[in-house]
Amino acid sequence: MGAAEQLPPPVAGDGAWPAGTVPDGAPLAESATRLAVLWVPDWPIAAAVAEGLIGAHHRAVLHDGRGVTAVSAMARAQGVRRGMRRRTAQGLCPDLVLLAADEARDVRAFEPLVQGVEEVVPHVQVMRPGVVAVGARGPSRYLGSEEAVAEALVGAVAQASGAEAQVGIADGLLAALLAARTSTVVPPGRSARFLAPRDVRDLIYITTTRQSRAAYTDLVDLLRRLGLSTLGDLAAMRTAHVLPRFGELGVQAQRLARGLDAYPPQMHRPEPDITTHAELDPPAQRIDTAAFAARRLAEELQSRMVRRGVVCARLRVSARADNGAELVRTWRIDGALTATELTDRVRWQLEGWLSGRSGRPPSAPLTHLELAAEEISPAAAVQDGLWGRVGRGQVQADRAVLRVQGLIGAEGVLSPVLEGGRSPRDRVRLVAWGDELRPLRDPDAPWPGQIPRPLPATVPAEPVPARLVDAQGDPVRVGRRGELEGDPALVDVRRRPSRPAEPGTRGAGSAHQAPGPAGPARRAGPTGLTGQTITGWAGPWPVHERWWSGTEPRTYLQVVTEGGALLLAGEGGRWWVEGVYD
Amino acid sequence: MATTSKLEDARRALAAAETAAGLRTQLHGPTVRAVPGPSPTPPPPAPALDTERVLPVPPALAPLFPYGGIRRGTGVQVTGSTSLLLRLAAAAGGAGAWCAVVALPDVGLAAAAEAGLPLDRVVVVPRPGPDSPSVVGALVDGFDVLVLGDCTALADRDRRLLASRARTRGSVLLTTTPWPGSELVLDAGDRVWRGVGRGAGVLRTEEITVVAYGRGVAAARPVRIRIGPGGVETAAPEVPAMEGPTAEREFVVPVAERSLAQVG
Repeated sequence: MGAAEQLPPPVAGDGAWPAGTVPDGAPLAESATRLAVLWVPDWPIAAAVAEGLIGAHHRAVLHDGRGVTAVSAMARAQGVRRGMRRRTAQGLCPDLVLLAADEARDVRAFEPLVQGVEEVVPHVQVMRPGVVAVGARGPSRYLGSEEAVAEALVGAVAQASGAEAQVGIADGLLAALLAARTSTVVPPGRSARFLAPRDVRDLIYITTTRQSRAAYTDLVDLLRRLGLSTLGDLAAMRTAHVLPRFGELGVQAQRLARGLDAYPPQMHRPEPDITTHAELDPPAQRIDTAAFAARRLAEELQSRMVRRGVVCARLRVSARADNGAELVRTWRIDGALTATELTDRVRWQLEGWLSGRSGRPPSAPLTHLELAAEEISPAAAVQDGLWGRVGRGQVQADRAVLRVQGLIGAEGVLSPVLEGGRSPRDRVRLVAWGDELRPLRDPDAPWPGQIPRPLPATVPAEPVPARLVDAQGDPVRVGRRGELEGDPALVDVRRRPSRPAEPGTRGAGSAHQAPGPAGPARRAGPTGLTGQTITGWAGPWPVHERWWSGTEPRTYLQVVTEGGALLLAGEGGRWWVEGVYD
Repeated sequence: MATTSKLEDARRALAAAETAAGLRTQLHGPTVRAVPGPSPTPPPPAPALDTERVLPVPPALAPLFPYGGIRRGTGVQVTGSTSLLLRLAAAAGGAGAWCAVVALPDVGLAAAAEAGLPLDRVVVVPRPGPDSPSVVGALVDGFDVLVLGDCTALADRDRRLLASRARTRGSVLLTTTPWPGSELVLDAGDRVWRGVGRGAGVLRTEEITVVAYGRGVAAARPVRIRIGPGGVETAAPEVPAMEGPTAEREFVVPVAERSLAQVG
């Protein structure tokens, strides 16, 4: 392609560059693999339809704990979108059918479809449920044209599963993926031009694992902030400038944006594949026995990859059944997989085979199982320290949290976010672990009238009512101008009603549950009242927040008793403990 | 005059160097009697801690810890002061440790952040519920520091199991309730808040007396500390708590029990 075009002189600097060349002046010597990508829109929904959970005419969404993950076409027509909160979606569309997202179901239902595709084209790579990639050059020669390949693939899928699929053909994976979204065939050598006007956000479609999605999302964010908003902008940068600024991932993204493969092709066979295999004796008839063996294999494969410091681009799962049938499936993988993720992939694959829903073998027990890591390349990721772990970090914490979430639910494990606000209670918000950690209110804003530091070390989860009286025993109120009517002399903190202290917990530690300041035992005041004698106080600090919503002005008061200090908040004539300085 | 102070300066510098190198205790020469600096208690040069084994604590509290910090795999029971608990967690968290706060629904996380605890490495489980043994066990596996409140669902047997699990995993338990096998018990009391008058001022600094009991602690020696804008500092020695005989200090009723009596 490059030879046919007029090459510009090798100039440095900016300016438009014709497709097929890189700005360094060198012609594009390498050409990307010609790929056909088959994409089933809304596959998770189609999978649910295939399993008979919903009908194709239903307005349905799939959701996980955080929000909507897939939307059926009917629901989309009503305005429901991915990423919405469940309640929002239901508000838009009252007769919405809600289903829990289930990756295993997606893979299971996808298996017959892949087998259908395999009847047309060999060497199918599953990118994720709903998307497969096949080499396009051979089949197009066999079937006559690339359009004929697309037609044959769509037909095969319709026959195998009844789902509607779209096919795109182009050079390089990214271009083929995007072409599939519009059912187009990009002529050879035109991928870069096809990609140039696209948003850099389209890079996300390439990702198949959660980590790589997170990494690409960060990269895309950064690129957009720097003003590189289209793939063409990214492609026009010099490679030598990309590597130091965006690292290995940036180079990958740039290669994709230029319509190339993510990794440069290597003439020699890079590294031998790593394989692990096991004979299953007795043959595994049930999914759990097979999955158990798969787990061991996956862990072994993972540990061998880690030991050699490599990642693989494809995972091949192959199995032999009792009746002699051989089953092979290749998964496309980007980045490093953890052993658990690896196990999951294998288990889903086995479920697809053993459920026998595809109407093909095996519906026979499995006797042999083999995992192979293919297209091995050196890992650029952070490794464990030389002498084992250096510090226990994110990975271990994540793992522990996942286990705890499994025990007590996702809402039981929270991460704190610093917020802007005036009272100590407003300055931290707890969100479920894994949720967005962005503050709703800017913590760096000045927040005039905020409670001065130090902040109380204990902030009762539920407000604890308190009584504040002066030396005569009259309740201390806040006057109309925000001043105290009378000098506070005694404060009486009532025990929280909802949480009586258990008799067994009478120990020093109960100080946290009992939000009273440390100090001598309550004593009778001058007027026979009980409470703690106040030795000093600071304030009152009136704060009138959100006056537009009709709230009462609130008054804060720091009170020092003989053994401790309290932050009281008052509204109207009532006081409660907002914090304990203990 | 000038020469004397110069000599003293040199002696002090030498003494400091020797302390840092670990030679200080073995020498019995004139350098040992080097005159201490003019400031009431100059913070001793923090000895290099092996963070693989020992998590750091605020320097003012280091004398209470036999190893100069919290040894990994051990437990420290902190009673009487939540702010002390938060400062200890913050010192460990500031050194890169991940921290889980369990069964403390009332803890003021804004104060924790102010104390220096990086909240992005903190996970909070306010109510572990009846599954506490498994929940805390999982967290012990994954986190360096566990700040543990009152878990009523934990039986004594669970506590012993968790303590041994923490020992193998090398994580640190900071508890507010009695815990078997705690290496150290820190009891805070005699709290005085400064900065507030009658209707004027604002709370500024808190002074507490911390007494340490436990293995490797020779005698229950109280330390008066001041927690304020400058972090945790040793309070000025003219406070009588430092000079009086230490024996009677041990009989002070722990603060938390009193507070319970008050509100209960």
